[in-house]
Amino acid sequence: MGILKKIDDYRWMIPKDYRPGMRVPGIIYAKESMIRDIEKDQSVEQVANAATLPGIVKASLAMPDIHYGYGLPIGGVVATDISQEGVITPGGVGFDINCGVRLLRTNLTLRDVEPKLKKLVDTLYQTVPSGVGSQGPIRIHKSQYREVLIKGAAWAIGAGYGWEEDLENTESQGCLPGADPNIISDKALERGRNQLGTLGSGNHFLEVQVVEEIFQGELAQAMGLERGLITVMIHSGSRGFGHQVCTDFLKMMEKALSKYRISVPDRQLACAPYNSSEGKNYLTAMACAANYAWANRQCLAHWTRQAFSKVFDKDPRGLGMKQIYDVAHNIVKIEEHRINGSSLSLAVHRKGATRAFPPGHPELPPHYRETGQPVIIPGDMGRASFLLAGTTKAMEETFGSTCHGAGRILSRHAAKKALRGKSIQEEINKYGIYARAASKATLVEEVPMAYKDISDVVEVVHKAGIARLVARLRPLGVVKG
Amino acid sequence: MSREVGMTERFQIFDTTADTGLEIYGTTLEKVFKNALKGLFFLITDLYTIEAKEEETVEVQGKDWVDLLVSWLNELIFLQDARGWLFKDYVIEKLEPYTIRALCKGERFKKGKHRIKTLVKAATYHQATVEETPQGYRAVVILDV
Repeated sequence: MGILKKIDDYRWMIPKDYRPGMRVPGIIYAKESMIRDIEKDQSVEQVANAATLPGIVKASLAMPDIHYGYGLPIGGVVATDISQEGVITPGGVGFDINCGVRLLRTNLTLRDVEPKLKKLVDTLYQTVPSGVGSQGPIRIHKSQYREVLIKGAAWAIGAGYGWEEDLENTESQGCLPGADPNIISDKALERGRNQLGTLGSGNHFLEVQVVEEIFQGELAQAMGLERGLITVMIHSGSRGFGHQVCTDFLKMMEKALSKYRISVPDRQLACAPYNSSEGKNYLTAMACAANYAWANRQCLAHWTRQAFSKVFDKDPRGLGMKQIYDVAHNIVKIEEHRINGSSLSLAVHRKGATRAFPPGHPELPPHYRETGQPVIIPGDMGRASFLLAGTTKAMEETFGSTCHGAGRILSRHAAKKALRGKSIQEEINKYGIYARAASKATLVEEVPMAYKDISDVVEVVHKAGIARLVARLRPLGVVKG
Repeated sequence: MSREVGMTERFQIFDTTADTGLEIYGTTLEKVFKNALKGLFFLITDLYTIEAKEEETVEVQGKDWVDLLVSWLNELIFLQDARGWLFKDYVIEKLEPYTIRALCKGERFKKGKHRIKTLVKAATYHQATVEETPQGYRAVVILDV
């Protein structure tokens, strides 16, 4: 163990004097057995890099699913003080702005779904557009497009994709304020136009699951879950629209560095003060992309309900297909946090990290005031996904943040090699899962062994107290891009 | 970590944990930008399926060579993702500090004829370099895939 100093069983520190220019220490949430993998790639250096950002508060944080990214590592959380010199960095959000996860419940049980699983997954695959270059069935005029970017999920519901109540079960009600489409480049608009209402490719998926284990009965009940019930998880983001917004603004931030005399150890961490036109413009554009993503997941959820309805010959309300929650895990948000006894407005960057607000937080809908915010953690497609709840300790220690997923340990190429000639179907069959994918290559790259064991990741956040385990969800069928 | 894909193409693909990198060589900068185009579309599709039957002028500016190369790749990624362009070659019209204008040759994506192997989201500045070597130039760009 080199750089990392053990604070306790679940926290490791990169001391502030590790490198000149660090304004705060780095803190990584992990257990001892994970440290070797974490130290193997350069993600520790990336935590240290982020600690040099102007205005950073308390510490440069990383969740146990930390892995190598660009700019901030995946799993990174950085908060900057916007009343001071605090900066905004697109590299602290990533290209897939508001990539996130949505979880729907059903009244169905394993017994209902097992005999129809293949038909269900095939129907989902046909109903929900996925894969590289897939075009959504949604054709929008210019004025509607503006509304998507301004209103987010509410646009989709207004257009008939979903239920009004889905909004209160979505982080930020599925809409970031301050979105102004006038700031968006023609390129981003063009790239996003035909991709609205598509799952995408890579690690994005739609998964049918069964609740296999309940850890907190009361919380699970409040979230509408019990053992044996079927759930559906949707993992997608802002598609080409968000990628182009990030590309456009990184180039702009590059120019801003010299203007504001900021030096960063990695050009991908290019940034500008919150109180600058560049900082404000990025936030405005990012809000458009975040809203695009919420509209996108809203449409995907609607088609998911339709597919279930078709297969089980019952309307979605009759099937009890309520939305448990929807979380963003690539985003920067302006939030109030208490630091050393006083309330500060911070720009909280979560890049591969999930908001985990505690019981009683005013942003939560009334039915989650006692449980804390539902936190949805997708695993790899073989083993499991988890539902957790936000905690007061997360609010105190991690700016109300926790992990976001399993975290890769094998590169895509290494994943292919790791199969050692076995077919991907064989490997997935081992887990008893039925998969449909637009591209076999994607399926191979996303083989379960390419990821950390999600159980280790959630164990750390649970034991460290920055989220509470509610339920474990086992995958049954998956649709991939 | 690194794997070679034919030095005649003068680029190599390497993997990071979550993403993919391009290591590009050229005796001149013109060749570096051409090999960057080839490397990118090698990742996206099967180069041999692209016919150079249509042309598109692409012009990009940067603030230095690294920015120009990253921006060049991002422009090609945009043209692929938004308009379906697949390129395999180019004729350079202008390459000077820090502008490139080239006539890119290829065709639009056709279902059945082409397959998309990898969706490339963007080229990043992370550890991006363009450097002179005794043989010419070497450049590295990490792509978000």
